[in-house]
Amino acid sequence: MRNAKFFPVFVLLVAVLLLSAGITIARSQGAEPVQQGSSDFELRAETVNAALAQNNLFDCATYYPDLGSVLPVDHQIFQIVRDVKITPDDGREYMGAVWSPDGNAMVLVVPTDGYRDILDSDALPSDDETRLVAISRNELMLYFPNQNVWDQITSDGARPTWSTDAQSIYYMMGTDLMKFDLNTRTAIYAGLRAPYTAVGLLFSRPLPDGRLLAPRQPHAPLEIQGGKTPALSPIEVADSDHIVLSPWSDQVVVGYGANTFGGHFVPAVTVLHHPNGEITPLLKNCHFSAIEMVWSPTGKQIAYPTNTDIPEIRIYDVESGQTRVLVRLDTGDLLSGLSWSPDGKFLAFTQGDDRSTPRSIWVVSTNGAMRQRLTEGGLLPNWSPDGRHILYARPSADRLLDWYLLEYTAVEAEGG
Amino acid sequence: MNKQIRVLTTLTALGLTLLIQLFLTSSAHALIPGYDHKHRYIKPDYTYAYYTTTKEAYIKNTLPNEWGYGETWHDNALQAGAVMIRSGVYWRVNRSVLNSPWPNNNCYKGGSGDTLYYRTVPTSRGGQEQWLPGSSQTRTDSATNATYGYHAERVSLPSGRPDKLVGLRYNATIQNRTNSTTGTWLQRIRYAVLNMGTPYDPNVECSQEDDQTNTDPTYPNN
Repeated sequence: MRNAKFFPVFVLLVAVLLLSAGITIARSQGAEPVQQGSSDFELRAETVNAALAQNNLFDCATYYPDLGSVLPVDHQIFQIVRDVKITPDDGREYMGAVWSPDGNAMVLVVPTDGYRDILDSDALPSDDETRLVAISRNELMLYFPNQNVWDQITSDGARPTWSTDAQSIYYMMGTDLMKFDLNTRTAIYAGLRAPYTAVGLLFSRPLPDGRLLAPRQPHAPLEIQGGKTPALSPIEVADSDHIVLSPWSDQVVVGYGANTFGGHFVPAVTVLHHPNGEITPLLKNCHFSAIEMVWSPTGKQIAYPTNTDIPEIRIYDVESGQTRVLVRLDTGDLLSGLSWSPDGKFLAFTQGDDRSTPRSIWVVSTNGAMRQRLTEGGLLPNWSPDGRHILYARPSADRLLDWYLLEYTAVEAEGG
Repeated sequence: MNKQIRVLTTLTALGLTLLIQLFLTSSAHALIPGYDHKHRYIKPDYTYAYYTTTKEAYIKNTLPNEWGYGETWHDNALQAGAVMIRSGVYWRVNRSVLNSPWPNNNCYKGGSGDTLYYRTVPTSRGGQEQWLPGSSQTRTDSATNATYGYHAERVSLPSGRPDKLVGLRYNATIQNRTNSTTGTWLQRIRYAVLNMGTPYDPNVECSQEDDQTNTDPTYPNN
């Protein structure tokens, strides 16, 4: 009976111990809290709020055109002369390519299994639900189509950018700006560096003149480093964002991603930053469009697809601020992978996603007069600067993508 | 003495209640993976980015791109989508973390050791699914929150399996079917996946050798 007196206490003790253990285990399995960075992202919040305050912003969440489809007339614009697979069967994952300005060569990004860890403190404050933890190390491979020759530039590079004279390739090795010389086949540190942060690793990118768009200090906004005349005011971005530089690096579109900033849901918003520091809000709730935006070769227009209920390809004119619909489908097919022809008269794009409908590559004249299905299957068309080739990809059984080079001749010289 | 017995009885009952509650709580949540989702995504600059997301955040950044968020999408269709994506995420996380020996379905195909992850590639870059960071929407977030915890499970635990989870597949056809019918999210899922003309296989995701069962899953939220 004396022992029985302690039984309930014992039972309670066991229960409390088990409860504590359970809570500890549950905590260890759940998401660890993200430490807030030293930046409060005030500049970013200011820009996003200013954009969202604009009442007539194009909103992909509510857009539903009453008008009918916009489908340029089917017409043969180009004739395919040659269509050959160029990527070797070497087990590498060849991804996107950047053409040289003269169209004689291209650099392909080849991600590897190696990676760089991202600091916890770089996460967007209060958005502790999605954490970027690492980014890949990548090979950069140089390819000369005329000779069918491949050459490795580096085993660790990202965001390759050709110099204006096509003699060098700038790229990021982690946070270091590197310069690869085509004549000597050697790479050197170009003297500029971004701090080791998520923003430094993700967003730092070379400009064709050897300058660098990067933060100056950890958690600082992006600025142009090197030279005396920065072409852009500081731009603050977080790892949910996406930036698209204009051809002359004097304007940039930033797709600010949706997040739970400050504990409240903030929708995605896309903004054009001008050289004088002014901003033009472009889109709301259209993060897919922001990721898929492409500048025209002159830097005067921006084309993008929408993945709204009725998909469209739209063209925004920077000078007039007007947007026009180039294509409006009568189906729900995904539109993606836009690429301008070097003369700006055509856009190539992918229609379909191999799920509801097969993928195919189309070209459309930018004056809206005609369109042509160029290939059955294929995606990610990439027009060469000399206007002679279109590089594109096809899904592969052995790896994600094989790349093909398509040579064409114009059947009828007409366009926008 | 009577008072002492009453106190002892009360304390014992309290302790036992606590223990029972603890037992019930732990078994009730045993099927919901306690781990976050780890995955690799191909960024627009063609590098790989590795993410850890909560399972609900994964749904919120997938649902608007796989289903939609415009006015033509019914709330119940979006809720059906949230439950289907959640079922896939639970399956993937548990299969991979628990490394279930059968069927052969470790869904985290990449990496090794503690760097295992699931490979996700957007359809615009050659993949088959649409997780896009930063793409969540008000309507699809609401649909996700409204169905919090609901997922598909088998009626009974198959031999050799660590749990009853079912990884529901979805493709563009199924998404549209959840919207082309009427009813609750549950009725819409059943319409979309049970009448497809091909055998309904709730065990197929990440599986190399499928269990060709046609059993309709249950949809608990615990």
